[in-house]
Amino acid sequence: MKLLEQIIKELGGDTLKSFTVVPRFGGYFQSVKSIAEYTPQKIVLRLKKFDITLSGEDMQVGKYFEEDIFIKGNIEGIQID
Amino acid sequence: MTDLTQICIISTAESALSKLKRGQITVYNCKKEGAKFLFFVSDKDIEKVFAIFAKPCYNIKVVKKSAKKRAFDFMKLRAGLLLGAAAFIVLAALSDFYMLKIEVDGSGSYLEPEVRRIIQSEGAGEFKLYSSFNTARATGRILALPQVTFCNISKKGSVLTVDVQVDTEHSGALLNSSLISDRAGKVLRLVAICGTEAVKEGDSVEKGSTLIFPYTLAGEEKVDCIAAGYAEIECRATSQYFAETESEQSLKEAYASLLLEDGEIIEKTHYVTPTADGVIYVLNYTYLHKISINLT
Repeated sequence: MKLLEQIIKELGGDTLKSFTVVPRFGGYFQSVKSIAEYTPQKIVLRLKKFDITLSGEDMQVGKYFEEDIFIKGNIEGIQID
Repeated sequence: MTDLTQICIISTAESALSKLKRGQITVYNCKKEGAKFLFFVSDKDIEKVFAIFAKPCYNIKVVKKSAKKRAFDFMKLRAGLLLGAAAFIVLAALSDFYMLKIEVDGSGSYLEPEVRRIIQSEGAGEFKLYSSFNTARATGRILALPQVTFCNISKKGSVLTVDVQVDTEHSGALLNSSLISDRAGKVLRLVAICGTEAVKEGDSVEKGSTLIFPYTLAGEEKVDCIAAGYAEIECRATSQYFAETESEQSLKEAYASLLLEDGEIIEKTHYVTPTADGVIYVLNYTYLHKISINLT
């Protein structure tokens, strides 16, 4: 995790805007301001400047606190708008 | 055991999650079932969640209480039962340290009154702590009882069992009578292993006096048992010895004539009375006479 943070920082990225997805398990997202859409097949996470649209199966919020969210389920696609 | 409670609310997931986020409440395992939105929150946040969705337009209810809360409610409803069970366990554990029953077994069980008296004097007894009982001393004293060849004291649970075995070849020869003095004198020593002493050391007794009764005292109650023990009685006697002449040899022979079957002379004096044919030695002596009952 430290290496990932170092790489992102050195490339000029913001670790708070990064996310991690594990196929057929779920994903961890940060800086989520709100949830615009919520169904088992589609979840739209609203961040400050863009939205992340997740598509997949049996998706649900595993844990949500402040701006951190863990989505359980099979995330098949991610689209950033 | 988790402390997560499941809550159901009739609302869109998006708006519910947004409100919960603003309330800084951590939500877990959110599920959408038609118009219902189900989620878990920590027990400490339940009141806050209900406050957030307090408006009448929200239909909110607890679907499943947390395992912790269910266990607490279960215990609260059955407080008496749990208290009773706890008290029973504590009592059962404590009773193991106590002796609630004493049993005397084995071929020597007829010695039960005496065995009970011994173990009670060594600290045993109903509702008494086992740790206060001197097992080794009690075993030694029970082994000193007549005909006892084996003694084992064991504790199983709260029952103290004393196994007493006797020499069965001799147990039939036991006398059930008292120890009776067969002559008059002064009691110098009296040892009652079984039974109750009838006189004290230093007392004067007559021939036929009872020395040890065949019962033992349990408080004020007399409990039958055998009498076992011995007594040493100081007795006085006078004897005469005829000799042709007064001499050292005659005196020796006079004392030698005092053949006692049991006992020993502890004090003696004499005087000489002349007669027509010789002299008579009058011997006054004190001897120790020992009698016993039911001792092997």
